[in-house]
Amino acid sequence: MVVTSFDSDVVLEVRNLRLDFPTPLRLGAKKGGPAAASSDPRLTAAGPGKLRGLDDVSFTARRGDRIGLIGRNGAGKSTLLRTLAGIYPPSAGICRATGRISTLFSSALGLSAEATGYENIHLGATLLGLDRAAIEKALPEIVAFCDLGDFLDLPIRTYSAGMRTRLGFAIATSIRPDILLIDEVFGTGDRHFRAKAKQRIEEVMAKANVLMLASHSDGVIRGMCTKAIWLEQGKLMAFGPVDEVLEQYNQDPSTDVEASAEAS
Amino acid sequence: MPEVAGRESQASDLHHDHPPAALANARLIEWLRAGFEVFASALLRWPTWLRLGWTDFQVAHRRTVIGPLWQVVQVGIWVVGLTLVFRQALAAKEPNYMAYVAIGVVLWNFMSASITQGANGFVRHAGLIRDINNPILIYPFRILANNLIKMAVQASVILMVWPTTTVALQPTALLSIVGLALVVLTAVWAIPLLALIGVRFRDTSHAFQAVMRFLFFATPVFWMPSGLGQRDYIATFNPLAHYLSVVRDPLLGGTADPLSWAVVIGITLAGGLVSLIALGRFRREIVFWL
Repeated sequence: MVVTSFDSDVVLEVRNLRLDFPTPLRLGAKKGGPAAASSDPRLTAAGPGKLRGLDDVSFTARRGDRIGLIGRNGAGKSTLLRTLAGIYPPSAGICRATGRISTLFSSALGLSAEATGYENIHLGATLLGLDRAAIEKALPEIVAFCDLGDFLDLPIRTYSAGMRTRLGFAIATSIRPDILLIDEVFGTGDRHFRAKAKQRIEEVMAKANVLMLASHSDGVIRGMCTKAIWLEQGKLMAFGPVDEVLEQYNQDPSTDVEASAEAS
Repeated sequence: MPEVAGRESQASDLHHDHPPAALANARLIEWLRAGFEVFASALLRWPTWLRLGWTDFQVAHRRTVIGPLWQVVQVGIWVVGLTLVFRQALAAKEPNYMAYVAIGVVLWNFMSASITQGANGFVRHAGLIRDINNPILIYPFRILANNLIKMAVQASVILMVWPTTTVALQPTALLSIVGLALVVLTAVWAIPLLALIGVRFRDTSHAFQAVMRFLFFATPVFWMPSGLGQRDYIATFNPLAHYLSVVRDPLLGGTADPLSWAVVIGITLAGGLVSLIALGRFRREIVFWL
């Protein structure tokens, strides 16, 4: 299906996106009756047996946008990324993506611990949809980027967490996606890797793409992104230039570590 | 122009004011159509699930000395052992008993692995399903590919024991290829269907594991229904017995009972239909049940 849009720069369009998870938990039916129902809006908004993961989220990403996703645990960052990737079907609203999407949501990337680095490159790349010829073509680049040398001949159970991240990142970016979605995987990488990753993202971005990156590290967000989205309990609180949104987020009383520590 | 892929949320558009019967029919057809799509999209990704299944096979024997030969040794021990222990008691007059057991064990391994691993087909892949947007059935098909490779390797045992038989292969032996195709076709719909049931009802895989061990004895893998006398109904009411029969009997010089062909073809078609509809209906829910 071809998405027609008045604005050809729009790569990602999200309008009134809602996502409800079914949960085994039926709060109203628990002992104590409905009065004992949770006060958390995420558990009550969608009715019994549902958990509202995303609530009326709207934003537009244009060619070249690098968007950082910030918010506390459970704010909906990963849920938003998975919905954008097409893994979670939206409960309501519109989520349009133009182009090829690649995801890096865990450094594991389906890797098999007993298989060697080379075998895992093939596994990961085929899982991301590359055919044999494309894998052979991308191989030298992946090998060069992940910088694992002869370790690629060893089973990856011998790798450190950071080495696996490097391998996963190299594979995920090798498919030259139009949209790259990354969820908090830089934590295990060292400074050298982060610098390389940033450079790699610049390369991928040079082809006019969209990056969305969820992270709890202000440094990573500031270093890699130009814009930011702040999510809170499934709702979009702010979307704009990275510095402005980070400032808003850090000044919010509910996210202020010292303030909430005093309050409790 | 880059490849353009558009996605839109598809809220169910089926609750308009049609009469209930027409509505039910429209829904069934919609699910069936969606089910075809679910299967086709994953089948088209055969390079992916074949590679996954093949890597699983290789990795399973890593760090062993004899490697994939273990598959042959495992089946060989079963076949020789069962023959030594049971031949006298169960089939003293059957000259082809060893080949009978060999074919039975190889097929049984495939069917029982498909059932028990199938029930875990989605659960086992929870991480991958949540991390990468892929046709969801590539994971059940990975299990299928892995078990097909195993069956092919194990089948070498049948060739090894073949010299012990007195069978002169007839043209009717080709029927066993048709039988085998039906076995594989059944696995193609059964592994995804079991994976779907298994991800929603987590008791499923435990239940199957509990039942399969008993079912091995209730299926004519190493005994012959004719030897059971009045209890041959055990084989008659066991669908797996008919699946064994349509592959094994033509190879050993007979032709399977028409009843067996009818049961196998009937189950293959009916089960395939159920699987298509079920996966079409619940394709969106799977990821939330993980």
